[in-house]
Amino acid sequence: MGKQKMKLGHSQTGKVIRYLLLCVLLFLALLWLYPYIWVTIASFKNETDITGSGLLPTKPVTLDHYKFILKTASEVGRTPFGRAFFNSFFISSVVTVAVILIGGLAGYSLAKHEFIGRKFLTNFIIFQMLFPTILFLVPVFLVIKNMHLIDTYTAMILPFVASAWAVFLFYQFFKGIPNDLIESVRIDGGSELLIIFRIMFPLSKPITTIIGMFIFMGRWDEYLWYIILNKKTALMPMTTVLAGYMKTYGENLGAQMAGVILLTFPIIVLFIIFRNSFTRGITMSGLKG
Amino acid sequence: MNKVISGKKSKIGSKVGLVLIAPYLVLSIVFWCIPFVWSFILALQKWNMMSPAKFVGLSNFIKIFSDKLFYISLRNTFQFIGVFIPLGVALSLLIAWMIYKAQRASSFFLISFLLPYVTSGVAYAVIFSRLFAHDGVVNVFLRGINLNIPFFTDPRIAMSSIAVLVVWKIMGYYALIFYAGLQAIPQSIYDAALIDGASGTQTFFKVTVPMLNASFVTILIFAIGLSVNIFTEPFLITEGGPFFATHTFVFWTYKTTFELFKAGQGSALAIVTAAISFGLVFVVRKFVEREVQL
Repeated sequence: MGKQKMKLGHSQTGKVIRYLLLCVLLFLALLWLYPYIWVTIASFKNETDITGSGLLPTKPVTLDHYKFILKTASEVGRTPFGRAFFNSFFISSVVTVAVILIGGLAGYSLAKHEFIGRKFLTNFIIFQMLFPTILFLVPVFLVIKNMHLIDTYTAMILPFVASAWAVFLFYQFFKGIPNDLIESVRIDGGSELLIIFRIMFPLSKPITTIIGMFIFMGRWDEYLWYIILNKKTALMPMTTVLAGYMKTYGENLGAQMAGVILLTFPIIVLFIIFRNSFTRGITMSGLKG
Repeated sequence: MNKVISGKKSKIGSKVGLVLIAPYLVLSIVFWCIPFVWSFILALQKWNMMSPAKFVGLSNFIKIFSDKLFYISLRNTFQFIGVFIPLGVALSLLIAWMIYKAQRASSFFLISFLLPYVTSGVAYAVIFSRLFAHDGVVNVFLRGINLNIPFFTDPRIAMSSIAVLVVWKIMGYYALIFYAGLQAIPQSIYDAALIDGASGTQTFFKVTVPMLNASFVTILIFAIGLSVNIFTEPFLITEGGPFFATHTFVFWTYKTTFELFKAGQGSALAIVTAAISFGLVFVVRKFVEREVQL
């Protein structure tokens, strides 16, 4: 109590200021959330009511837009969202699991094994993190093209499963795990894989969640790479399909709004479930922007 | 104690370590090392990705620097930075400070402001192109004061409009970094300032802001990376227009490589873009970064 008084001088004025700040913050938070509220409402409105509509919902509630993007779209030659949803989910999940496995093994190796070139490799991973994506856009496309993988799931998965960022985080975390723990398993004749899956991963749940969350989200929201690596409509993830609706289907606003909901809703749910690892991940910083 | 155990790192088979890191290394060689080297070779070539490549020396770079679009893209990038960085930094610092001072429901606010960050660039491009459209909600609202702003169709403000909506997206992320920075400042420093008779504003600018140096540097580096590499929003909302007003470097790289099929030119552009980004980060490190002593 005494500490709080010190902080704000007079506790009475302090209290007033605090409530004032809370009101301002509440207003701003609503302003920040408003676009979501608007798009949710718009996705249930009649097409003609969406344009220029005011701040509040209007009467006739319709599910037509959802029906259209999930079902009828294919009849008029558009990619249906159901398939795109699966594509997004499939690609993002595979990449996330692979990044954790590959990154975990590599991080463990760098943190707990001695071999020639270990120092060099650790520096190499830090070096990798310095360079922006743009530098790799053209040559990675060409590598994939030379492997005859354009227009496949593999093209949208393989280039993203080796994440230097993930290796680095695992490496740093594993370094903190005492060697005695590992040695005791080794003496009991436990294999390296047992150490990794029974000790390292379970102990590193917080960092694994952070890595998984950011990787999954990054893949789910990806757009540029997907338009470069895949042109086949059946394989398109949701971002590409939605962008296609926006560009070539400009008039059908309701469908776009429903698409936005399908694209953002799952990630928002994930974000709310894992909000703590998420905020911890950001404050740890060194994360990609 | 057994000798094997007491060693700092276990000496167990040097091969095992290599085996464990092998998947990462193989993938890195294919999708990082080879592309990395190739991009510099490509930049010196003229190649349409079909017929054999031709070595052309530095002519791709000369072409870029003598192209009007280079200066247009540079101007657009700086217009973006000019709006995005001051607005984004000031707003996120203000909000972090308010959340810190309000001492209540801080995680609720932090989460609310972070929500837009998890939204896909495509999704919020769709939302905002509607909200800020000629007949969108914002302009319907502005009609009340007899105003109609052509956010995305006036070449003078299109890039700034995009900057504003990126601020909306990213602000919570930066605010969280500032918030963590604020929490790390020891209370004793504020107490000392209070005893020395410093006013609230003085304390803020002479104590809080300098103590947040590390947060400022982190955020500025992130913000520069984002600004120089902006793509999805101008690509989807304005398609680089009107009159090239939102033509950016990544947009240019994409068009050159994947629509005009000039892989060499595209690679050179990517290198120029990365160089601009590195240059600006260097400037920040040099002029903003300080050692903060407790």
